[in-house]
Order: sequence, then C-alpha cells, then structure tokens
Amino acid sequence: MDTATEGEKVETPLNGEGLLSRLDPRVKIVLFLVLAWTVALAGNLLQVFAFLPLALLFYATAYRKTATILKLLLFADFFLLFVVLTQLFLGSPYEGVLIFFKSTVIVLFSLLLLTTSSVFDLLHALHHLKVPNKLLQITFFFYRYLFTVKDQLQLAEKSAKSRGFIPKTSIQTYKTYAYFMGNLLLKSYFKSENVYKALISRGFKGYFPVFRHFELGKLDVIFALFTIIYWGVAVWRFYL
Amino acid sequence: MEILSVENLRVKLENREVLRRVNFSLKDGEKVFITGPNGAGKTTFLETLMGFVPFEGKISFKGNELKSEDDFSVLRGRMGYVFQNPDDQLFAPTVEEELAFAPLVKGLKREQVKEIVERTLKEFEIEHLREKPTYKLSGGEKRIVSVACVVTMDPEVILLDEPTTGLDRNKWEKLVEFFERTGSSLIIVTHDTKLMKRLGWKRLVMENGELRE
Repeated sequence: MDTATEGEKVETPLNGEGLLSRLDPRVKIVLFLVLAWTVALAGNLLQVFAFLPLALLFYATAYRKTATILKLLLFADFFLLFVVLTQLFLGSPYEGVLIFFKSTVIVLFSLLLLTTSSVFDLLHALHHLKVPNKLLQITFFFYRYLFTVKDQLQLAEKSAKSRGFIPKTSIQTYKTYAYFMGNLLLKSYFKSENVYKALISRGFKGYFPVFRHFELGKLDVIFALFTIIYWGVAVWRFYL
Repeated sequence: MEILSVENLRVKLENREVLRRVNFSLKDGEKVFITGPNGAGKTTFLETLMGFVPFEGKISFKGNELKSEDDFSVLRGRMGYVFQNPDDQLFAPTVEEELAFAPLVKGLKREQVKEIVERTLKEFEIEHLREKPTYKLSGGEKRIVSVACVVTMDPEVILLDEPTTGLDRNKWEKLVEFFERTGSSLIIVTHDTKLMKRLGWKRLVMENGELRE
C-alpha cells in the first residue's frame, strides 16, 4: 500500500510550504482581505509599494517555492500587460502601471496567504467566517469532483487513442470530441445521482460536518498582530 | 429474531420489471450471499432496500414496515450500504474525514468520533492513508475505505455490492476476516466464488428479477 506523501496532500500550489502554511486559515483570509482592500484603494505607486516589503517578508517564508511563485505571478502579469497596453493607448500610462503593480501585490498576497492552505481548509475557514453553507458545499463538491471529471475525460481520450484515434482537423475528430463531451455530461449526471445516494445512505442532513477543527495558536496571534501593526503604520504614513 | 423482511417486492424501471415478487428475510446476525448473472436485479434489490428505488410490496425492518422517505431515512442510520463503485461512495476530502462523516452526522461527541475513527483505521490497517485525499487512493484502497466508512456508522445490517472486486490477496484476506468477525448482519452481492466457498454462508441466486435459494 502506498503512503500519503507530502506531495499528495498538496492541493494548492504552496500548501504545506513554510511558516505561512502552519497558520490558521481564518487569520490568513481576514488579513488577506484587509491588505487586498487597502492596496486596491491605493491612489499612487508609493501607497502600493508601502506594502511590498510585507509581501516580500511573506515570500521569504516560502522562498523554496520561488519558481512556482514566479510562474504563477508571471501568468497573472501576462493578462495585466494588456491592461497596461490599453491604458497606454488611452493616454493614461500611469493608471496602467498603477493597476499593474496594485494587482501584482494583491496576487502576491493571495498566493502567499491563501494558497499556503488546502482548498478544503480555506472552505472550512470561510464557514467560520459566516460565508453561506450552501455556497461552500457547492464549491467543495465542484472542487472535489473536478478531478473525477478530468480523469473521466483522460480515460475517454486514452480509450479512443488505444483504438487508433489521432486528433486532426476533421469532422471525425470533432465528432469524437462531441462524444467525449456528451459522455462526460451523462456520466456526471449519473455520478451526481450516486453521490447523492451515498450522502443520504450515510445520514447526510444538509450540512457537511468536519472532523478536524482549527485552533488559534500563539503563532497566529503574533502573526496577526505584526501584520496589523505593519498595516496601521503603512496606512498612517502613506494613506492619511 | 428477524431484522429485515421483504414480501412480494416488485420494482419496475423504465417499463421493465426488474424485481418480480421477491420474498426475503434476514435474521439478526445472519450473513448471506446473493449471486446471479449481470443485469439480474441484484444492485436494484440492494438499492430498493435502502429506499432509493420506488417499489410495490412490503419491506420491514425489525417488524416496522417502511413506507415513506422518512421511514427510510431513519433506517439508513442503522443499515449501511457499500456501493458497487467505491468512487461513487467516497466524497469527503480525506480518508479521516470520510470515516468521521457518519458519526458526526449522527451527532456523536468529538471524542467518541475520534475513538471510532482511530479504531476503524487500525481495524482495516489504513492508518497510513489517514490524510490522503480519497480521489487519490488506488482502486483497492478505495474499496477498503468504502467498507470502513460504513463500519463507522456501527450499522445493524450492511449491504455490500461486490466488495471484493479488484482487491489483491492481502486486502481480500483483510476484508474476509472482517466479514467473519463482524456482528452486523450482512447481505453480500458477489460473483466471487472463492469468497462464497471460504465463508460457506447461505447462497441466494437472483435471476430475471427473481430470488431463490
């Protein structure tokens, strides 16, 4: 039998990496919202850059994943470049640069504060932060079965390829992909029926109980205090 | 004492009579096999007992007739069902959460749930899978976990649909040992002749929607 390796537990890019992954996701979500909201309200580059040292400090705790962080940041920045270009053509390049850096810092915060927890922990934390249960359950099941859908699609592709299917620009290829999609849709429907049966056969009553709960530790309090003090000083010095 | 009884059970699906006047009874602690060709109605029979399929006839649990969805939802707390495809059954993010689901829904205290989860992990020798996401388990592991997560409900009756399919020798042996020692009544739908020979319990055959000994 295989054992659950660290890699297998990873669901988000930085989950399990560094100090931030050991913190209570509730604390991280609240701090992320405060920081993202403040950076989003920045009116000039100085106000944005006031938060960059904090983001870099967070990054230092996950420096071993530099390649992953850069890759994700570049992916987001690629889309932001279009915003800069649009602003350039509209005659307000400063606005474009401001939006670019604001978004980059917010994405950096989200990578370091949010993706250092698993999706399940984030949803669990959102439940504690009073996000409606139904919304969280839908998100959870969506996420949980995304992998099943992916597996089913790959299986269908393998099955077709094992019978000599080579994707081309042809009616036959389009037809095959249409079969894949139709099959996936039907399988998803039947799967959802079976999952519902599995839920009610084990007593599901509309809520998803959780076995492991969060405990607010000293580290969480210290981290939250440090971030809030930094935020307060930055707002007082650069925003007011 | 009779724990489950079925009288003149008929099920029609898409204008086809899947079960025809099935009569069946199960005593407390009794263990039986149901075998038969594919498409004979074995899975439909188990699903009907769980109240998933509309039926005609009478199903009783401990002498109480089950008529409405409410009756069946009470029954489901006392009767576990292991699905034919474990992928359909496992929905929680990790093995540990999967095992804790039913006891938590039942409203047991956290300490009790912890004790049940630990005991079950140990019983099925799957402690090393505790934190593993259920969708990343191998086929055999999924099958063992799907049985274990029903066991944590502490059911009086367990319905198992082809539980030994795809298991290696070691896991097969572990599961058979569990079948032998459990105090719950068992209805096992299977094609596994080795299993039926080894345990030697009563064998029923389902053919064309009819159940006979």
